[in-house]
Amino acid sequence: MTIAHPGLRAFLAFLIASLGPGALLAADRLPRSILVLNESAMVGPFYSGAYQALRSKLNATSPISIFLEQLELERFGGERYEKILKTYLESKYGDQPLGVIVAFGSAALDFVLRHRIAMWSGVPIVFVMVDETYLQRLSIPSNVTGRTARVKFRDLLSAANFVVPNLEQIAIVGDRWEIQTAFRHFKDEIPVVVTGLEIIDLIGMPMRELRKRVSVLPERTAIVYTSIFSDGEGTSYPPVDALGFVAQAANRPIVVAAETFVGLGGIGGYVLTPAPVGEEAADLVLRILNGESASAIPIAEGNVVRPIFDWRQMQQWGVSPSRLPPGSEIRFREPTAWERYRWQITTTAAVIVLQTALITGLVYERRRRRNAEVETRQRMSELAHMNRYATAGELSSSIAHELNQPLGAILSNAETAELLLNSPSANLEELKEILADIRRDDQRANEVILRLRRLLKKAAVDFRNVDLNDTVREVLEFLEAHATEHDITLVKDLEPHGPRVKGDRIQLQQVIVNLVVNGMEAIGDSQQERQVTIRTHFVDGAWVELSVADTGAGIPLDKIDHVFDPFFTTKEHGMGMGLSIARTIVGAHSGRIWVENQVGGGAKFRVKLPSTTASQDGSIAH
Amino acid sequence: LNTQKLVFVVDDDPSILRSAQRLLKAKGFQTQVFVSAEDFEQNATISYGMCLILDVYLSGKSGIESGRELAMSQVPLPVIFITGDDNEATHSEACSVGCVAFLMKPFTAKSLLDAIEKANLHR
Repeated sequence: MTIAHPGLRAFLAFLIASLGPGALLAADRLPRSILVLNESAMVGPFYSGAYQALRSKLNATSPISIFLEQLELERFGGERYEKILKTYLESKYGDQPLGVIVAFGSAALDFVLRHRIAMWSGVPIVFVMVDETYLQRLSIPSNVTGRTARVKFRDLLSAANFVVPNLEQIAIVGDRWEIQTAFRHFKDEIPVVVTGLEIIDLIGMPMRELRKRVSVLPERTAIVYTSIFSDGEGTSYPPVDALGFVAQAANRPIVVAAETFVGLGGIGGYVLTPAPVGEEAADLVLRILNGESASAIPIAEGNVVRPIFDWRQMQQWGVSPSRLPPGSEIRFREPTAWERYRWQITTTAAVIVLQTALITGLVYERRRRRNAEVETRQRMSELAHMNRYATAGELSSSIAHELNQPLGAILSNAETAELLLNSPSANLEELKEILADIRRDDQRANEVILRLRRLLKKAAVDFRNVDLNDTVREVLEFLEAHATEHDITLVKDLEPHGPRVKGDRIQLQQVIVNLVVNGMEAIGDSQQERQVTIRTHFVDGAWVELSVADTGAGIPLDKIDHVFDPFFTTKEHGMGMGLSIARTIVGAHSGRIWVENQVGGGAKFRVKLPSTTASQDGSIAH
Repeated sequence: LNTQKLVFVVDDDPSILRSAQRLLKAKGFQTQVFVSAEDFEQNATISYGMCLILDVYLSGKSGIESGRELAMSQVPLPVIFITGDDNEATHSEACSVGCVAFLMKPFTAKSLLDAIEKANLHR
């Protein structure tokens, strides 16, 4: 409901005010303002941490006015002080309607219950940080609820056992129990809980002496720090500062019971943590402001103790994380290089891994390609060898002819010599001639065999500086008989300055053989002009061209692009490998091979190879 | 000139010509040798000859062709083909022309003399 009329709003305000501060509004109309009574001063980080948590949780929903009073009951005590405090609060908050009063700590609750201030008689009370055992001694009136803090000496003892293996002594450090607040109850708990351990009681000892004592503690001792509020010689300070002084001198780890003590000299333990304290208080306040009756909310144990430890202290005392209770939080851990530079390290590592993978891949790929190349070359070499055999097969009748000629002459000569020797008038001169002829023909036959052997030799590829003209001559010598058999003239037109190329002599011979045989086969039976012309000459200085031209019919245009394809053949018994192998070999010699039809008819195969001849100006052409 | 004993030899291989000539001479034959069919046709007096030993493969006009012409000529002369080629096709082609003998190089003296003997009977 919104009250729009300003007059009406003013009237309502008056009405509420006239009911008086003591008059309790209906539960669902509680004022949205609370008073926090803190038993201690707010200078310590524990209470201020709890208060901040309370504030932020309350303000997270809708704005609530929060008043704060620090009773400082641990520093100021006595009836007179409390009386003054009561008067002060009465006059300060007389006109202030309050929804909930929040008591931080046992002393604050004790105060507010003992001095039932009249104006607050109907205001619900929420307490936190009140010790359980202490609470049991109070009679809790209605309209009061809260959460107990469960700091038990048993927990401190258990933490001490985690921190110091084979624990034998515990040294208990703190102010006199009477002025302690949160840990006062330890006095009664210690004799019950501690069994089988020696207790070194340093309670109430002035700081100067205490520091001496904690510096000479025996081995297997843990120090339990409660709270110290002064040096015992007139100077007071917050308990965290006192802890620092103790820790500076201590020769054993200090187990503490509050989170705020972790990181200031205490190694840690099951510690009271301020944030959940404030949050639990805020939860209860909100429930009450939202209409729940405080009496209806049962008092319960707060869940505000956490196992928290200081990494630096653990390092100092040689406590490994594995010894700590499960679920422990470790603070102030120096981030490792990995934690600090995780992204950089990850990225760098990833880059290195990628790079390694890439390099490995490339090396592998290179090796694979090399292997493939070697294999290809070997295959090519084998195929070329087979091709030479095939060529030899095709030429077998010429070869036989070439051999049979001298053999025939030899046989006739030998038999004639026999006849002459058997005759009475043996002409010695003639016999000498015959023997000379036999020897010459034998030599001739041997040359044929040698040529054949050279062709069929399965030699390793051997790149040398080769005279192309010599190569052509050798081939033509070999093919001469074959040409004669087919009534074909082989014409040489060779570059006078012996052109040289870098290559394998046998492979180059094979190219020429294949081209010339191909040319001879292109000349059909009917052709009148029967000639294959082999020409070598320089091109542009840097190249040597070898061409083989025939007087056949030329290559049909639809087939000219396929003549170098493997297994392309127009012959009845051809394998179709000759020109394909020629092209492969030329490629392996960094050359180029192509074919064109001549104007006057016939095809002309042209091979261009890099020249290694010293050119006329003296430089080496490549 | 004893035409009864004149034998013509045509072969483009000088070694063959020389060895054949020697052999025939040792056996008492007169010989005339030619390096090509054309040479033989121009220079030989065919009617004097007893027979012709003719190589199949010759540069220029082939032996087969020459033999064929000779078979169809006015003055037939018995032909003994000789060849260094063991080709079956050549053999049958030569036989179709008509010949007294077809000798594969290398051939024995006896096989040649037998062939000449046979040619003499044909004549």
